[in-house]
Amino acid sequence: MPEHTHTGKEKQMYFLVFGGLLVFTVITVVSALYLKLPLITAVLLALVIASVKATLVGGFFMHLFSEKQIVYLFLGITFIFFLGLLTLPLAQHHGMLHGGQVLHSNKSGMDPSH
Amino acid sequence: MIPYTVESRDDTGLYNAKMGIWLFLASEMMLFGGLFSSYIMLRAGAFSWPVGASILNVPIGTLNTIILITSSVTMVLSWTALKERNFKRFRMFLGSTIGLALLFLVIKSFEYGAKFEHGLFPRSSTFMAIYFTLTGLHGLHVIGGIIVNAYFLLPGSRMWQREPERFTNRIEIAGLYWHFVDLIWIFLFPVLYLL
Repeated sequence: MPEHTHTGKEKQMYFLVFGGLLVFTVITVVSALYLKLPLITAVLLALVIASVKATLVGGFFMHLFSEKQIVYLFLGITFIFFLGLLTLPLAQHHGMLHGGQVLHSNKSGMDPSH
Repeated sequence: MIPYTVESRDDTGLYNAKMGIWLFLASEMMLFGGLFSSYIMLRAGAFSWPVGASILNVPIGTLNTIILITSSVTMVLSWTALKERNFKRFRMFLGSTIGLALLFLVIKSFEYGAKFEHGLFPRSSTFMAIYFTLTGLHGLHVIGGIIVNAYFLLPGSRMWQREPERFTNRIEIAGLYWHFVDLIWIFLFPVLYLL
C-alpha cells in the first residue's frame, strides 16, 4: 500500500478520535453539572469517561494499540505501582492495613477547611 | 555515531529514544500518581470538600480541555506530515501545536489571576493548595513541551535535511510526551473542576 494512502487512513482515524474526545468532554461536563447524580456515581462516571478518553489518546495518538511488547511491560509494571500508590494510603486511612488506627487517631487534629 | 536512532534494536524492538521516552513517561505517571493519591487522601480525610464547579470556572476549564485535545491532534498530524515527506505541512501543524499550548497557558494565567484577585491562594484552603499544585505542575509540563517543540520547529528542524528518518522519530518522541501532557489534563479537569 502506498505511504500516502496509509497515512490518509491514519489521518481519518485521528479526526474520528478527535471527534470522540470532544463528545466525551461535553458528556463529562453535562453529566457533572446537570444530572445531579449522587457523589459516588458522579465520581465513577467521570472517571470512566476520563478513562475512555485516555484510552483513545493512548491507543491512537500514542499508538499503544500497535506498540511493542516491552512497552506494555513497562506500563504494566508502572500501573501496578500506580494502583498501589492510590489504594494503599486509602486502605491505611480506612484501617484496612495493620496500624491503620494511627492515622485515624490523628484525624481529629486535621482542619479540613484550612 | 549514536546507534539505534532510526533502526530498532533486536532485543527491544524499539529505537533507543522511544525506549527512553516510555521509561520517562512511566516515571511521570508515578509523579502525578503521588499527587493524585495525595488529593484522594486529603479529600477522604476532610470533613467537607467544596465542589470544584463552585470555585473554579468550568467554561474556561472546558475551553482549555478542548484546546489541549486539539493540540494533541495537530501534534500527531505534524508527525504524519513528516511521514508524507511534507515539511511545510509539518511546520504548520507543529506551529499550531505550540500556538495552542501558549493559548492554554494564557487562559490558565487569566484563571490564576482571577483567583488571586478573589483572595484565593494556595494557602487559602486544602482544595486551593492541591489545585495550584496539580495545575501548576501540569503547566510546567506544558512549558517544557513548548520549549521542545519550538526547538524542533526552528533550529532542530535542520536535521530534516540530513537525517529525515531520525528527525521524524524525534517528532514522534516529542508527540508521545505531548499526548501524555494532554492525558494528565483529561483526568485533572473532571477531578478538580467538576467533582
